[in-house]
This record gives sequence, structure tokens and C-alpha cells, in this order.
Amino acid sequence: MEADGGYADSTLGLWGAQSSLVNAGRGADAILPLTIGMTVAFGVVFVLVLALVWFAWRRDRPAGHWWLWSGGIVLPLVSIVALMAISTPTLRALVTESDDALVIEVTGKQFWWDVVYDPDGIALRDANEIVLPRGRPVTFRLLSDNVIHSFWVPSLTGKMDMIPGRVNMLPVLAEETGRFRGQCAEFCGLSHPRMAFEVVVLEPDAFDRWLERTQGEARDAARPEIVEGRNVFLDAGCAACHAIRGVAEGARLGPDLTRVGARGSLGGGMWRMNQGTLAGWIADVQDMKPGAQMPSYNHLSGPELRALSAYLASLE
Amino acid sequence: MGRAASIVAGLAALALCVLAMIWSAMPPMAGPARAVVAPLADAAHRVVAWYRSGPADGHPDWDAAAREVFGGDAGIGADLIALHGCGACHAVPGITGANGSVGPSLEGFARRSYVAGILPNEPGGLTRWLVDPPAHAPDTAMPDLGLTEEEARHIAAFLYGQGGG
Amino acid sequence: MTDTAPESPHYTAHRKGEADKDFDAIWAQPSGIRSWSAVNHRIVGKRFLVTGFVFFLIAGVLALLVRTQLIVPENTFLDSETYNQVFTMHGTLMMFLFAIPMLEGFAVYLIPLMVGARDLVFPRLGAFGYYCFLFGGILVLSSFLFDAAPAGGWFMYVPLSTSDYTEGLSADFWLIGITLAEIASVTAAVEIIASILCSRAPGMSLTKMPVLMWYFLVTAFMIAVGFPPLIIASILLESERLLGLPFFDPSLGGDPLLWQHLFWLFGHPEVYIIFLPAAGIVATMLPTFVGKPLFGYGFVVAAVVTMGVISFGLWAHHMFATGLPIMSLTLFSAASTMVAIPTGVQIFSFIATLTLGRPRLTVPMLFILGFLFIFVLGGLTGVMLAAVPFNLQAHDTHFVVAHLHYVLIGGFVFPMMGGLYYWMPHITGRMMSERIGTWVFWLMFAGFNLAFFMMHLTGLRGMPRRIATYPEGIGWDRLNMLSTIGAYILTAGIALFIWDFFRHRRTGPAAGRNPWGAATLEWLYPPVAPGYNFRAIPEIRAREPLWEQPEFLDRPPDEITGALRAYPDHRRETIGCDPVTGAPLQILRLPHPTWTPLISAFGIALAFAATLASVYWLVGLGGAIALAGITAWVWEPSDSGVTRATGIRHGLELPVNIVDRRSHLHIGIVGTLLISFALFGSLLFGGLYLWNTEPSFADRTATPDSRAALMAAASGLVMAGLGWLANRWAQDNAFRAAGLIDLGLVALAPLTAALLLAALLPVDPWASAFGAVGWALGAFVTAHLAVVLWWALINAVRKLTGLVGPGQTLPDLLLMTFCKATAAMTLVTAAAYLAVAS
Repeated sequence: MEADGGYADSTLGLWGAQSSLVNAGRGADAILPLTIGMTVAFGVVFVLVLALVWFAWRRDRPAGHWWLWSGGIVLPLVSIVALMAISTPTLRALVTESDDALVIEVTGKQFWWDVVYDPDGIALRDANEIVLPRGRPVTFRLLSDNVIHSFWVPSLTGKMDMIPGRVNMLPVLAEETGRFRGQCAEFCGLSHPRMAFEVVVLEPDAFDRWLERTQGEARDAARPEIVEGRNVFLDAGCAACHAIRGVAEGARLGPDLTRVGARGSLGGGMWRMNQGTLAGWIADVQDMKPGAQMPSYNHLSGPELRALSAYLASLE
Repeated sequence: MGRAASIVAGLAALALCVLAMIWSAMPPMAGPARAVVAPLADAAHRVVAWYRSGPADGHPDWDAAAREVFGGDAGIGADLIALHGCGACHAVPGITGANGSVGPSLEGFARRSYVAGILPNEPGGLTRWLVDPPAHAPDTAMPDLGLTEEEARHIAAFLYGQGGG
Repeated sequence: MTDTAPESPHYTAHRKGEADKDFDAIWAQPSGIRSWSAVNHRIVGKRFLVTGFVFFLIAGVLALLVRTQLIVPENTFLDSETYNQVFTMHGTLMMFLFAIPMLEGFAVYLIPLMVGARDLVFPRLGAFGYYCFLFGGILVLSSFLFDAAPAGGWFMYVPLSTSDYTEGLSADFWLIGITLAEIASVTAAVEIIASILCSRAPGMSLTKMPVLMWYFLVTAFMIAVGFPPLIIASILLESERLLGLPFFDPSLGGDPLLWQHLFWLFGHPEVYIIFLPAAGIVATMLPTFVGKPLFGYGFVVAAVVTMGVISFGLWAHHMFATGLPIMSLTLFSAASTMVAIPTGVQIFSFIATLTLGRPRLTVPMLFILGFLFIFVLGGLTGVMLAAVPFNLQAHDTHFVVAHLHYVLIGGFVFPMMGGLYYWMPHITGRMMSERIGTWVFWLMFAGFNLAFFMMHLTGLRGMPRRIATYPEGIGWDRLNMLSTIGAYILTAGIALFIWDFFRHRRTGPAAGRNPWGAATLEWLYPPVAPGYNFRAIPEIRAREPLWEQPEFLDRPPDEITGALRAYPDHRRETIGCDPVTGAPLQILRLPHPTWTPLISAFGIALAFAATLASVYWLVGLGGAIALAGITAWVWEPSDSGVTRATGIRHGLELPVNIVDRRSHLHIGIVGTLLISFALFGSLLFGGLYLWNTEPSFADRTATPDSRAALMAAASGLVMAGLGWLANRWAQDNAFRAAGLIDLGLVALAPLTAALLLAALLPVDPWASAFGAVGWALGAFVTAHLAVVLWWALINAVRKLTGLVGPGQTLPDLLLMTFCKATAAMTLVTAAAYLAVAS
């Protein structure tokens, strides 16, 4: 998950990372031919209608009633039947869940994503970046405890809303490895434009290794100079909202930070993850993401801020 | 407008619209486009450089010479600024999305006298600062981003190049 | 009992008639400050058009702000909060304060002219509606001044718009201001239905009336049934914000999706409400420029009616991503694609009309061609969106933004522009410039397509809607820049139109008689037609009167023979007809200028604004002013009870303001009750929905008191009976007895309300959404009972003080109908309480 600059990859600036025309998942793969087919078919219909207008303009003989029957009734009817015949089985395939799917529960927050892998089993909690195995079915369990959000990774499949009081399921099967971008697709408030997320698809064995590596306590304080950052974390009260396994457990108000340094981006897909952006975030999150639930921690001293951001950047 | 003129103008407008639509759908600088645009962009840069190359009275521009960063490419500097997310803390004109207010704005950096109030504002000073800020100012909030000296030179070249001077 | 002698002591025409005035003076419009008391449809129609267009321009500026913010990624032109306000207000102003009032303006202006009437049948209602629209629009816009502009999207989804997540007054500005403006829409619906059905010229049967009237009629019915779900939803949400009632709170048995269902039950018919009149305008202009009647009139009428009905079954296609069951998805998908059929019939009828003659390429015709291009493309992307798998990718992306602008701008704005060019000579008496108009069209057409065509790709490339900015380099940068440039070009076209509008009023060439060679009656007089529309109401024998009846254009229009040339009672009047057959039925009296609509609207606006400001004594004052205004409005003495000569068909005499179920007033009451039943139905739907989706909460809600519910039902039945009895006795001229029965109603109405509320007492509205809906039902019926109370009081006082003469019992007939409807609602509500209690 490392790339040049010593930083993990990110979908920021990656052309086509959030496109439904790039199909790397079975859902998107099923939808794209429908999209293209309808575009071509209706494009032809459109051109025919324009041609008909041109022809009608110049024509001297009055039209017959069969114009209305064929153009107004038969043509739409045929298109409709064809459309329903193709889209209904596609829809069925899209919403059918696999019995042996890995369940990932995602709760939409204002304005981040609370992710729990295998909630009924190991219940591994993370945030804002979702890792998936290629070729293995996954079912997303989508929830919200505040306003309505919508979970959407266009390169993988269609979207599904996250509605308070309701549990929606979204089956996904990633077919290609790589990094893809998702974004909240239901207006959810002030920082709705800044509520994106990253999806990393790994080969199945690489995914198993990742899952193994990600569980367990934080690998922190590997170097002595990082220890000070942990102290700042605890002293500044960050543990009231943020959990780091092995350091500060239990808080669920904000994202879990156990592996925060390993993520490709910060703030919900909006900034590259590195010590500098972490420092900027902590010092003035309200400027970077107005309306976020986290207050700006601009009362830390310079060395404290550097230590804290170095500490968090080291949590991989 | 005469009928023939209208038709010609209409077709020209239509062609322009279609070209604009095609342009909008293309990714930036696809191969053939780059071959066309790059020489034009180079020529434009050379004109700008000539314009800025010195005062009209013929004497050397010592201020400008003092700001020249040897081996620094402002284009690479801009990419590095985006990669390292400097905009999370600083407002940097010319970099998309860089409007942070944790640290000072870097607009018109060349006109400043000091770097971070500590080092004199000249290429060496800025480069040294960027390589390890806490070494020069122990109480600074700006972290050591792990830049190499070459990367720091590119960034310095960009900061000096924007906004005059 | 009839009385042809004008000196009858009970006939009060002289008190209202202005005996010293001649025809022109009777119909003269007040000038200066008094012009605000004018109720004539031409003036009210122009006001709707101008005010609606001003809101269009304001909303257009907001759109430019949006596009300017999106021209480059990570732009800082607008911060997020301002951007959210700007796009919310853009949508809100366009949908509620531009599109609907604009089509109302065309309707109010054109309907009497086209059906051969001297005015709409309820001119004061039209003026009242305009003032409600004006005050509501001002209220919504004023939110910018208080830095509290709504920022939750024009669709105000919950829970984002509830008091938990939107503090402050912004959402309340939307809910209260828009509901006030919506009063205009529903009153216009009643007005349009009654006018088209009841005031057509002699000989104009339903199949002979211009096709635009069919479009307006269907639209009006759609408004009557389609707006109530939004009004109810707004009231429920406002109650949540003001009173804390848990309609949408899942933890108390509410459901955020209830808002979405109610909103889209309105929202989908709304877009067809916007489209249909515009298509009707196309259907009117097209034959003019081809020189032949519309192809397939019967097909088109059938298609319009079908479309009106089907449009109510499509709403959930806005909710495909909410997790509806797959069966629902498939059904709504199929229904949504089905609507392409009636649409296609209309489009192909328009195209076929082109073959009937040699079309003339005028500026309105250009806009028709633009409509065909843009709307058909938008309709096809709509069919794409109806396919659920594709919808799950395209929903809430810029693909939908592109689609909606194609169908709304192509389907409404372009025909509207054509219609403005077409009817401008009628309004101002001068022709606009063909040359400038051609430029306006091409700038608008090119700018629009540049702005929105590639936006389909922007959405497919993953750009969601309603985002204030976007990251650089993921494929949206150039597309957004192109869209912004296109938007500016579109604006240039509109700016040019405005310039030409002002220019032509000074120096445009004067329009001759029937400048376009049209077939419909509004062109009978040379522009500008006199305020009374027709000196004598002409007899109609064909669907295209000006083409088929040469006696209309071969002589000065004031000399055309027709009905009501004489005016023995010196009153404004027109011919009323049977709603179905169109046969002349009555002489329909029309009001002279009056201040009561303005006063009533002002009182209501004051009450709404005071609610917003939480100044509750002012709410009471506003209510009192509105009540006084409305009472003065309805208090006027009756004209019924006499017959007069019409001047046509060998001495045909007709009753004035007939006391009959076919009376325009009764049709108006029925239309109003249609709206009431739609409101009531929306509340019932809410209750049924929550009972279905949250059965555990429904079961845990305390049960209503069955005995009180039964007694309320009985009381309701008695009330209906009393209403019938009062009418019966009044018809038999037993006015004193009927008046006493009215007083009985005055007592029974509050009793019924009290019984309903007693039934509700065990239920705590704050404890569950289901209980809250029960209380909402009770409150709704109580509001109707309050109307019964006041109305019966007015009727009683008038009878008991001798103001009512023989044959003047129309108010009793109307009250009887209203009592029956209110009783029905009471019964259904009581039955619902009993069902829950069991």
C-alpha cells in the first residue's frame, strides 16, 4: 500500500477513479452494457425523431393516423418491453446477496464512514477506507444514525441509501484489484461534498494478510520520539471520541484511529494522508471540513502538534 | 445577415460547439494534444521569461538573480506541494484546493524578508527550512515532511516563481 | 320561483349595479393605487406572468452563482454554506415561484379569451391567489436578508431538515413561505376547473374547445390532487420543528421515508403539471404556423388525460436507491416507462401536424422546434433512468441534473418563450423583433446544450449532485468548465430577450388584427383587446372559430352578434354553461374591483409570517384580518332568483346565478373539496404507511376512546342531515326555520370537534408518530368543522335578518355539500380511531 513519496497511494487526482464507466465490479459490469445499449438505442431513436421532424416539415402530403399509432404507441411499447426484459434480470442479479459473503457494516456519519468488518464475528472497526478481496462476494450492511447518506462506489456497483431506522444491504463483488473512489450520494449537510472514501481491492491472499495485520492493537511507539505523540493524544482528550486499540478503547464518536496512518487519504478522501495534512487537520479541521463534528484543536503548542501528527502518521 | 453568411456562421458555430464538447470529455494532455499544446506553452513561457528577464535600463536585476534557485523546477514543485498536502495548512495560489489557514499564506513569497521569521528569505534559506523546519524553529507547528534537498529546491522554485519577483 | 320584474323587493341587483355607468365604464379597470383592487383576469394574469418571470431571473442568477462556483475544482467563490443556500433557493424558486405561477399566468390570462367568456368565474379568487403567491415569494426570498436562507435542498429531506439537524429558521422559511405560495396554486386549480367547465361560450362543447383548455383542465385536476401531499408533508415537518411531533423519528415509530413518499407523491405530478400546459402552448401555436388544425385532437386529449392519471403512479422512481422491495422497484419502473406512451402520442401528433401544410419559421416556431429537440432528448434519458439498474448508478448524479434540465427547460421554458413571443402582441399591442428573437433562440439553444449535454457524461463519470466543490483531476474538471460557459451563453440569450421586451414596448411595430393568422378566439379583437374581451359573447360552431366562422373576422369585433349585449342590471356578467354539454345554463355575475382579496391574503400572510417569527398574538391578528376579509368577500347579496334575456337563440332567457349543482359555485366547492379530500387522503396514507412499516409502534400506541369516536361519527351524520334540511327548507322559502337549523349547525360543529378530540385524549402525540398522525387527522377535520361553524353562522344571520329572498339559496346548497363532505371525513376519521381501538 506504499507508493512514491513514502506515502500510501490515494485516489486523489486519479483520473477515472470514481467513474461508473470503469467497471471493476460485477455490479458495474452488469450495468454498463445496459447504459451503453440504452444510450445507443435511444440515440438512434432521437436521430430518427429529428429526421422525422425534418421530413415532416418538407412533406406535402398529410400524415396518416398510423404515424401516431406507430410512433406514439408501438415504438414506445417495444422499447419499454425490451427495457424491462433486460433490466429486470439485471436488477435481480444486483440485489441478490451471497450466503457466504463477507459482511461489512458501514454507518454513515456526518461526514465520515464508520466501517466494521465482519460485525457478527471479529468486528474489526476502521474508518473511511475499505479494503476488499478480489473475486469474493461481500455484502455491505448500510446504516445511519443521523441523516440520510448514500453509499456509492461507481466502479464497483450501484448505490444504496443509508437511512436512519432502516438496514439496507448492498452486495458487491470486486473483479479487479486497484484503488477506487466512492462518495456520499445523498445531500447530508454542510460538508456533503467532502464525504468521499477510498476502496482498495486486493488479491484474496493479500486481503487475508491485510485482515490479519489490521486486527489487534495499535503498532505505535515504534520509535522513542513517537511516544510523546501518544502522550499528547491521551492528554489532549482525543480518546473521548477516538479509539486506538491498545491505547484508548471504547470511544465511537469519531473514526477509529488504530490504523489511520495506513490509509491513503484523510478527512474522507479529501487530502493525502501524511504527517503534514494530519497536523493541518488537527489544528483547524473546521476550516478544512466545515460542519464536521470534531472541533479544531488549535490550542496545542507547535511541538505538541508535530508530535501528535507524527504519532498518528506512524499508526499503520 | 445574408442567407449564405448565416449558414456558414451557423456551421462554424456548430463545429466550435462540437469541438468544445469533445475537448471537455478528454482527459488532460492526451498524447496528440500534448504534442500540439506543449510547444505553444513553451513559447508562452519564454515570452514571460523575457518580459521578466530584467529591468528596462539594462542593468542586471540583482533581486531576481538572488531569487533564482539552481536546479529547481517550479512545475515539479507544484506537483510536490499537491502530493505533500501543504495546502492543508497554507494558502498557496496556483495550487487547486490549497487554502488552509493553519499557517500563513504563501502568496507572493518572494517579497518576504524572512522565512518563518527565522531565516533570511533567499533560496538557500528556504530550502534549508523546508528540509527540516523543527531544526530551525523548535517550537514551530510545521512538521518535518521528510523532503529531500532536491524536492525542497523544486518547491522553493515554485514559491519564488509565483506572484511576481 | 322566477321573477322577471326588476323591481322585486328581494332582488338586490340595483344595490350592486352601477346604474349610471355604460358598458365601457362598468368594465373599466381602476387606475393608480386602486389598481391593486382589480380582479379582472387580464390584469391578474399579467401580474402572475411578470412576477413569475422576475422570480425566474432571480433563480437564474442563483444558477449562475452555482455554475461559477463549479467552473474549476476546489473553487472558493462560494463557501459551502452559501452554496447550499444558493442551490436550494435556485430549485425552490424555479419550481414553486416561477414554473407554477407562470403557467397560472398563462391560464388566468388565456382561458376566458379562448372559451369566450368575459372573465374567469372567480376573479376575486384569482386575485387572492396572486397576492398569496406574491407574499409567499417575498417571505421565502426575505430569508436571504436574515441570513437564514433554506439550505437543505428544494426537496428538504428529513432527518436533515428536522429541528435536530437544521437549527434556526431556514427550513421554516421554506415550509411556511412555500405553503403560503401554494395557496395560489390550489386556488388557481379550482378557478381553472370551474372556468373551463362552466363559462364556455354557447356552442362550445368539450370537444369543440381549444386543446389548450384540455391541457389546463387536466393540469388543474392534477394540481388539486397532487399539491395536497406536499402541503400535508410541509405541515407535518413544520409541526415537528415547532412542536416536536415525531412524524419522521425512527426511534418513536416515524420514518424518514414517509417524507419522501409524500414529497414525491407531489413531486412527480408536479413536473407533469409544469410540462402539460407548455405542451398545450405548443399545440396551440403549431397549428397557427402550419395553417391547419392540430393533427389527432382526440388522440391528444386522450393522451393528456392518460398522462394526468398515470403520473400519480410513478413517484417512487425518485426513491429507487432507498431499499424498496424488488417488486415495488419493478412496478414503478414499468409504470415510469409507460408514461412514454402518452408523451409519444403528443409528440408525434405535433410532428404530424407539420405535414398538414407549409410551416412558417417564425420565432415562436423556432422555440417549438427547440422544444422538440430538447424535450425529446430529455424524455429519452428519463426512460433510461426508469431502468432500475442504470438508475442505481445515475441517481443523485449530474446525469439527473442534465435530464431534469432537458425536460424542464426543453419542456417548459422553450414553449414558454415561444408563448411569450406569440401572445406578446396581445398583451402589449406591438410585435417583438423577429431578428432579435432569432438570436435569442440560438443563444439559448446553443448555451443550453453546451451547459447540459455533456453533463450526462459528468454524472456517469461519478460526479454526485449538490456538491459545492469537487477534487481536481478525477475527470470532471473540463466538463464543469464547459457547463459553466454554456450557462453564461444561455443567460446572454435571456438577457437579449429582456432587452427586446423593453425595446419593443417603445418602438415595436403595432400588431394588426390576428397578426399570426391564428384560429382561436383570443385574437378576435385587434390587440390590445378591451378588458371585457367580448362585447357580445359569440356563438361557436367549430373548433377553429376564426378559421371556420367568417363572420368573426369580416366585421369590426364590437358588431359581432352574440349574447349579453344588453346589460339591464348594469353589472359585469358572462354566460355560464353546463359543465358537460356546454349548453347555455345561466347568466354568471362577476365581481367588480374590490379590496377583499388583498385584505384576506394580507391577513393570511401576516399570520404565516408571525408564525415564522413566533409572535403569536400577531398570528391571531392576521387570522382575524383574514377572517374579516373573507367574510366581507362572501357576504355580498345574492343575484339569484331572476331570469334575464340573453339576446341569442330567439329570446332565450336564463336564470342569473342558477341555484343548481351545475352552478359554477358548486363546481368550485366540489373542486375545493377534491383538494380537501386529497389532503385528508394524504394524512390517511401517512397513518396507513406508518401502521404498515412500524407495526410494533402502532400496536404500542395508546388506543383512542371508542365511545367518543362513535359519538363523533353520529354527530357527523346529524350534521350532514342538518345541512340537507337547511337547504330543503330554504328552497321551500321557510327562511326562519332554515336559519334556526343553521344555528343548530353552529352548535353541532364544535360539538363534533370536541368529541373527536375527546376520542384522541388517551393518545399522546409526542409518544409515537402513529399517534401524532391520529391527532393530525383530528386537527384536520376540526379545521373543516370550524369552516362549517362560521359558514352556518353567516347563513343563519343572513336568513334571520331578512337578507335572503326567494330563489337565493345558493349558499345553502353549497353548505349542504360542504357539510356532507365534512361529515364523510368525520366518519372516516372516527372509523380509523375505532379500527385502531379494536
